[in-house]
Amino acid sequence: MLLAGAVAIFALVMVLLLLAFRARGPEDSAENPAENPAENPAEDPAEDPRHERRWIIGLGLVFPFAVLSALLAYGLTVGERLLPRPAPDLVTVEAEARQWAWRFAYPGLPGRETEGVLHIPAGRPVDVRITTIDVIHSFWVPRLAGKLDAIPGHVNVLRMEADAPGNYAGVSAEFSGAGYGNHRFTVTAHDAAGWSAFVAGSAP
Amino acid sequence: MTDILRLFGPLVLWLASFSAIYGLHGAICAQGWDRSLLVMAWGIAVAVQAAPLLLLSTERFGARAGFVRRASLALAIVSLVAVIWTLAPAAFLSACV
Amino acid sequence: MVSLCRWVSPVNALRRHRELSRIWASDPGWRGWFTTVNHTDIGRMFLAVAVIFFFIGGILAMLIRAQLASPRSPFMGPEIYNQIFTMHGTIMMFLFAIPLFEGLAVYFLPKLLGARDLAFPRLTAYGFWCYVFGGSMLIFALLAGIAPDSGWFMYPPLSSTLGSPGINSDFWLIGITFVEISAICAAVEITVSILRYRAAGMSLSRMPIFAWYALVTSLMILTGFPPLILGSVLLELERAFGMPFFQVEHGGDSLLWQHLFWLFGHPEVYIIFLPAAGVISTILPVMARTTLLGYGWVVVGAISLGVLSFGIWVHHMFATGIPHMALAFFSAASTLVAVPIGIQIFAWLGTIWKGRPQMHLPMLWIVGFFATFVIGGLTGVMVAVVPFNWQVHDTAFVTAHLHYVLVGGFVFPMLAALYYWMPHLTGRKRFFKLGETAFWLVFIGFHGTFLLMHWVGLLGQRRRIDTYDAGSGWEVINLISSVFSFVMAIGFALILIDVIIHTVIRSRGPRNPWGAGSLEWAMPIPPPPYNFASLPEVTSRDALAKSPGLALGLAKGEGYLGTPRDGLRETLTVDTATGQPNGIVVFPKNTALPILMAFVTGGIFLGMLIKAYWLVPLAGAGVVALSLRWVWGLGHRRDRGLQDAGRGLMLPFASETADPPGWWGSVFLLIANATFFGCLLFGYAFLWTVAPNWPPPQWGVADVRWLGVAFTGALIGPLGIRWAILSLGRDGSPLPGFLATLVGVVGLGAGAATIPLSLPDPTRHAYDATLWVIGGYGLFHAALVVLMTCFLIARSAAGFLSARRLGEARIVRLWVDYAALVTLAALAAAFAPGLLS
Repeated sequence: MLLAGAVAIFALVMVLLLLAFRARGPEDSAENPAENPAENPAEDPAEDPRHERRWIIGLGLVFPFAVLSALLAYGLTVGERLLPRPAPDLVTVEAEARQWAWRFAYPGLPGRETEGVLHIPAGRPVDVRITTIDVIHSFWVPRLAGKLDAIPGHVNVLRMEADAPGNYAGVSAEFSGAGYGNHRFTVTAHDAAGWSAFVAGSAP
Repeated sequence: MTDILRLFGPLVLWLASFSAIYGLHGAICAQGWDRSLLVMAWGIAVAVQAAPLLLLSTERFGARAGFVRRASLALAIVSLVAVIWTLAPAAFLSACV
Repeated sequence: MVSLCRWVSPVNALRRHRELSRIWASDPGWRGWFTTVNHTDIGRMFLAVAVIFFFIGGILAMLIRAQLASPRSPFMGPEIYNQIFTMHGTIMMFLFAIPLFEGLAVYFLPKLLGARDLAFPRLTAYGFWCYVFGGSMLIFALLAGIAPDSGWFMYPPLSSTLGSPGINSDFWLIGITFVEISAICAAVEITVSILRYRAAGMSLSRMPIFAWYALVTSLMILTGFPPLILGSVLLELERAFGMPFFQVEHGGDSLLWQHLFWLFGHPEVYIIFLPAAGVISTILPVMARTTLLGYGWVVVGAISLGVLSFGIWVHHMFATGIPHMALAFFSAASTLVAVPIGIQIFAWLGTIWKGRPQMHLPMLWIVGFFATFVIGGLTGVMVAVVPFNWQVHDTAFVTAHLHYVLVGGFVFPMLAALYYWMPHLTGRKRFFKLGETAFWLVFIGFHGTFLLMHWVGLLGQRRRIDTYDAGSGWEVINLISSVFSFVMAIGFALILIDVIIHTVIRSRGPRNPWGAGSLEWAMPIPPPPYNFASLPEVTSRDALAKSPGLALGLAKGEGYLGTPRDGLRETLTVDTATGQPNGIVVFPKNTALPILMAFVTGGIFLGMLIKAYWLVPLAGAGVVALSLRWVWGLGHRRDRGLQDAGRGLMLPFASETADPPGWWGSVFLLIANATFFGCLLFGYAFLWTVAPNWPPPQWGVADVRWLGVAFTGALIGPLGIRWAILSLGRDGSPLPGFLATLVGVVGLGAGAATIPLSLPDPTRHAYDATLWVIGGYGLFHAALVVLMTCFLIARSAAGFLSARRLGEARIVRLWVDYAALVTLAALAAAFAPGLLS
């Protein structure tokens, strides 16, 4: 939808630009650059206010304001909906980043830790508590949620939910030095049975 | 040089209000104060931002020259719009998530 | 040789030209490069060096595309690649874009404004050499394989001792800060020049539109660069001395760097865009044979854009975990900023619509700008929407967006400027039609490189990765990008060849080839060192359009200051609002002092870089000595009274006016300085409230006696200098006042010194470290003012001060007041938290 809107606006501007180059009457003299602009008969400063109203106020003010307020309202509403609010079936997990690997812990399951693979239940909201032990990294599973940085000394909480069981690729999305390119992890979303098995300690 | 102040002043006032309310938001979330403080601050900022517009329209504080007078009034209106638009989230969104 | 030319009658244009050329010419040959203070020469030097850096950055870009053309490329490993992309960004942003604007402004502003030079010619030269020396440090690092490699925004802890223990990051922090001195100098000078150094009658509303843009840009530099300078100083202090501003275990926070960096970084990109918009606003109406539609609206748009851009920096930090409401403020502001941009775009379109546009080569580049920048602006609005940002942040989508706005919004307009003003710089006209071919190669090459990059970013390709896997689905797009990037490179190479041919082939061109109405065309081209043989009086916005015979009349001496006086270099200052002439300025002659000063300043930075810390105070002393030499040459030893400025007008020398240009220079420098201090206080407040691991082990405790000393000093200092000025005004001796000032300022310094002394170890906690910086800042200013006051005492003894020649004392008064204010603020900030808890 954003793309369609952008393409439409771009097309509008380009059309206006092209039309601005339209052929004019017999006063055209495109080949004579050294003529004195003060003698320019097509120049009529009295016409400017009319042009101003149309171009600057109509197109320059009213049009952008209308589009931008709609876009902003939409964006803020969506942003609100993505926030980690309390939920009855919420699962909390922890993701600790370092150069250049990921370690995951499960607060409900003391002592359980996994390297490189994060286990979550499918179909339930999950809060990921993101931390780092060295430089800034970022937790990003493109198919499940936006990204959220791991900042030293801070715990950032990302809400995500996998609609279906499966494996989802994750990467760190903050440049962190020589090993950044391969700083990846996987999220495995289990169905209800698989999650129970994992919690019990027997799932891979 | 006063003309330069007339032109830039209103927007700089917006920047000050904007920064103050951003800082206030940080304090509210860190100290657990009530979010209505933010809405009140927004209201105050809007009221304060009306001041340059009113002052610049007067004979005493407004510019004499036509161009600077029109431009400074336009910028005062821009700043008022900016205060309303950029700080509106204070009234409509969750405070500290 | 005694000049008989004082009495030359103002008739013979050729004799006037010869006399003025003799007075204003730079030294001949190589020596001229090192001793010139002429804005035309220095402008050309800035432009040439900026272009050299552009090509170096471009080669680095080619290396990046060569690496990314294929998956798992063996071309280079991540260690080298990280240096390459970091330097590509760093060079383009700091060593190309800003200096290109500086060069353009330095060369053109006096001509556009109808003056003979900028406000502070030696400062222009000093800024240039700081740029060259600082930039050379970075290129040295690149060639030696020890270039910074943490990305051009250098986030700690990666860029600090934890992530980058080697010298690489230090080159960035120190080299870039050195280059920024150049930008601050240029900004102070451009501001003062636009406000005071204009043609008679050039009121604010008659200023060429480019001057408005340059004014907004330079004010933005003055307030936008200090946050980065502060951040760089803090990070370097952390790296060199272990002061933990960004280390969370000791009460620091890496987010502080991000705030400081982006407080600079966002205005930075508008600092880059606005001059380009100024170029378009200047060239486009000429190409369309009309005047700019909505001049007033465009001015309002430029000012709005300039100030609004300071309220949107957090949109670079949407993924850092800041609460949504705070993000929303910045998302709203970021969308709002599109409105003033839109106003300008539609003003330009409307200008073309009402005019009769001609598709000359500059116009072709402007059309290229429209097609490219608008796309970049639209993707920019997209990334301002927070949920969308959470997906595309740190992906190739952002890389594509930023190149669209920077190349489309800066490089293309500057290429239009190149072709528009090349006749002015060289006096020649184009020979071959290489330019059109080059345009199409660059335009098609650019879009081929970056358009599909949006898509691969949406598919998940991150930015700054050195390679990607086969089977990722990104191979084809990356290969296309790389191929087209070479097409673009060929286009740029063609432009270079075109320029070389143009400069070499002696095909003289007409004086005003575009039929433009602005003043830079009212002189012979290439321009003589003095610009205008006599200074114009203007009565409208397009002065040359209104009076086509203006150039000839000025050459015949019909304007102001048409008769050289005592072989002096002179120009007029005017009232800011009305353009009424109110003073005559005498400029310095050729001197090697600026390059020497830049060299010695470099010693301070070099000492920090190679950890030869003895060099720092030594070079510092050198800078002080040279500064005294520098300033001593100004002013007069006796009152000179009103002078003949031509056309029957009698004006005083600027040194005998109430607010000489140097005073305004100090005002604007102090604005930059105050921004630096404000950011320091902000950083302190940020760490105190947001950083984990606060409170510190121990709060600093003030010694009340020293607080009293400082407070008394804050009263005596400002009163003392005012007493001295009053005495001067009554023809009395200012010495008692100066001595009182000294006493007061020493008290201030003593008070400031108690701040670090109350906490002996600045490496223990970020609080301790911050207090050391705050205290050091206060102490530095106290020392500076002591120096200034002693200088005033010497000046007074030598006869440079009088009831009419008060300017120097008033300048020092500014600094005394400032020192008093910041010391009190520093003391309050340092000891208040301890008192409150």
